[in-house]
Amino acid sequence: MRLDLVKWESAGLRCPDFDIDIEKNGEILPTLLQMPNGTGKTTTLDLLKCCMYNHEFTTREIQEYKAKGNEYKEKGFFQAKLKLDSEIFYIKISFDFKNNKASYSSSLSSGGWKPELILPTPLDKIIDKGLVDLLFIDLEKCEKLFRKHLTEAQDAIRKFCKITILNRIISDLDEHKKRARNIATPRGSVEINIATEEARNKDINLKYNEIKKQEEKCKKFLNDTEDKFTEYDLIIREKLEKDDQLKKRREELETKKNKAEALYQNALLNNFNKIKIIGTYGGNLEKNLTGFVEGLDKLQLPEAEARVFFEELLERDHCICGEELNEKRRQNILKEKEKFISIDAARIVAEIKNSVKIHISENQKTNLDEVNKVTQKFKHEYDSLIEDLKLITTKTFKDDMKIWDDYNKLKKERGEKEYFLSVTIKKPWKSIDNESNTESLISLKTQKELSDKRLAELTGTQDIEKKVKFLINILDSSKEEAEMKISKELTDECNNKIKKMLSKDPVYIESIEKHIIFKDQQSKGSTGQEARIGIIFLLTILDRSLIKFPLVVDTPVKGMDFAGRRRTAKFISDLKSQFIGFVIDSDKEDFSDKLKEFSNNKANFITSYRRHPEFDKLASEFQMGPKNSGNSHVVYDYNFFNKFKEETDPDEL
Amino acid sequence: MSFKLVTKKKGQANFMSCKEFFKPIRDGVEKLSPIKNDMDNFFLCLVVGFKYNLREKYNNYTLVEFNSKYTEGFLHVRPLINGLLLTKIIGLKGIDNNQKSKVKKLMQEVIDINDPLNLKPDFIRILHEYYIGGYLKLLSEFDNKRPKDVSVFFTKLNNLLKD
Repeated sequence: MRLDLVKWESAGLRCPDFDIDIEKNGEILPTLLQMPNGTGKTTTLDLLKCCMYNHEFTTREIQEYKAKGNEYKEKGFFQAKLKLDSEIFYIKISFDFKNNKASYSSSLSSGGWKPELILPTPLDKIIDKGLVDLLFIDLEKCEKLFRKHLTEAQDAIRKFCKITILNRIISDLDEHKKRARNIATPRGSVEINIATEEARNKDINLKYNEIKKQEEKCKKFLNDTEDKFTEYDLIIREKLEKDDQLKKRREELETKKNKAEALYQNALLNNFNKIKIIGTYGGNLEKNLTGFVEGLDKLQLPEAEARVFFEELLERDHCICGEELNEKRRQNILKEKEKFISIDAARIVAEIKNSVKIHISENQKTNLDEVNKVTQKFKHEYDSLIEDLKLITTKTFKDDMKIWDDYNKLKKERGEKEYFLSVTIKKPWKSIDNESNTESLISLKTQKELSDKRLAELTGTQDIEKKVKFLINILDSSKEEAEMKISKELTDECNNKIKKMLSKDPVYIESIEKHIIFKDQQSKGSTGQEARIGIIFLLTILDRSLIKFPLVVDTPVKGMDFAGRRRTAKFISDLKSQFIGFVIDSDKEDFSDKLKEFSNNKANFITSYRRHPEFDKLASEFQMGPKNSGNSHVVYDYNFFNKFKEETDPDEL
Repeated sequence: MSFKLVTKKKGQANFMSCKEFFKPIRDGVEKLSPIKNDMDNFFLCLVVGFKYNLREKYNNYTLVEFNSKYTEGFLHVRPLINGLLLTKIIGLKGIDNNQKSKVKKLMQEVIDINDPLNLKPDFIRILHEYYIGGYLKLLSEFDNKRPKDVSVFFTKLNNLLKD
């Protein structure tokens, strides 16, 4: 399956009214589209994305697409022409700025225009927002592939390598199981039990989905705040390093505070441990326990051996006095035996006695007043040092206390989210867990399995349950193995490309699991490094995928040196999928000319700009000047593309 | 039967759950706190209930299970808790410490060697009644508000438990 973007046009929007044809002599070729800053690259990229899935436009978004000033029109549209294998289809988004409305319409080859977004069925089955975000990408914003809390790289592998298909099979199997249960529902009291368990099963699913959403929210929060947090961290470090005297004083206080903190923490722990040994701190608890144990001693309890004696006696033919043990005598012995406690119960009572004797002795006595004094002393020292540190912080930050407060607030919030992601949702299942007392995804998954098992027992569908579980287990482990294998292969392929493309400054990939991890414990790359590795990853994964999606990239050579640009041009020319790169004049050197060369002139170079006398004059020199009075112009010519250069700041245009 | 924490009181909509009460002074919120889990919450209330001989009717409350057995840090405390419970039950049943047969019979009634708490269900229930009693005492000591500081909590608790 191959999807190509053939053409798009827009009118009445904040970007100029473009009509851009990507097809060249009936062919889809690697394309570089030159658009100066401020001509709507981001708007175009966003609207192209929106053509691929049903996007719900907010009022704010609609207003953002509105043309400004003299160019304002009440209505506007964006239309894309696409080709799935040989089938042409159109998607149109119409904007009604006066009434703040946006609506879809589409036309497939099989029928006329319909007032909704309809994609060809094979495409509709696999495409979603996540996939579109990867295919239409601004490399300056590709950090999602690298953030430890996000799973964009893993999702890309799953989607492009069709691993997600296995999820659909698993879902079908689950549905099959449910259908079988519904058919087999018996009547009477069992029916009530089934209804109860079904309700519980539903509740578990609801809770699971709710926690999944929370998990996504936490990841998003951590990702969204990462740059801000790093920035704060940097500012704070700089401030702290600035004044040597304050720095030294702060370091001294930090050391003292850490010591005081450990002492205070230890005092609290000691307090708790002392309280645990009930009866060591005097009062009625001690009297109760010692009195109880003294009483047991007095009564010579527990007499464990006594019962054993009777039990052994009952197994004999004759009593110890030599008399034969008849039924009447045996009954007497049994009656007598009941007056003694069992050996197991005796063991527990003995444990109580020993524990009380060991713990409640003179040298174990606890004076809780003393404990209070010690704890308060350490707390006072700790609090004083915290105050001193606060004072020095105030001195250090003077007018920037807001940054310090914001930093600490964010640090706390991020800490809570990280705890939720790394501990709460990963807690192991416990037999007393239910859907309302846990937030662990692992526990909820086990609860669901147990509930399914119980439902299978109640409905007599154990056989189907067993088979489905067996198949799902196979599919799950296949998914896992496939992902591991593919990510290993992708890592190797990407590293080979990195070696060639970034020979002067290679940053290699350690692994691609949930996200891309850099080698040598580098937790985060620069924007440029991430952009370079990001495009390498996307080119590699797209190349090995059987589905040939277009890759539309904003700033494809962002932050690359000339050698990297040349290599990127080579990879693009070898790519089997469609490639469209949005570039500005400074991106062209050693990139567009190389793409032309490597593709044997089979590449497409388009320039589109907002009308300006300077650009119009240049187009006229190439006999390609505009023939109408529109606000934009598109030129399909390599030489013009090459010559085109922004001489003036776009704000001044 | 497992350990449970009280969440609601019948007919009292604004009743604060035990978990909520301990939240600000639990590890995770208060990083230096030695109070780390639900078992810790349970024990701290229970010991107050025992000390002041406070029992609350189990049926008047909603409780939610949290553990089916003693956690690692409480295994050594189990015999002391069971010893205290036995003394309380002996007192409740009006048994004289010298009545050997009655004491032995009671032990047989109370102890369950197959249960991780070593107690039969009815007596685990009584244990929880003392726990609820202790929790209510703590609530009233803190004016029905959550403790703000872990050291303040322990100071009050120490004062409650000391002779």
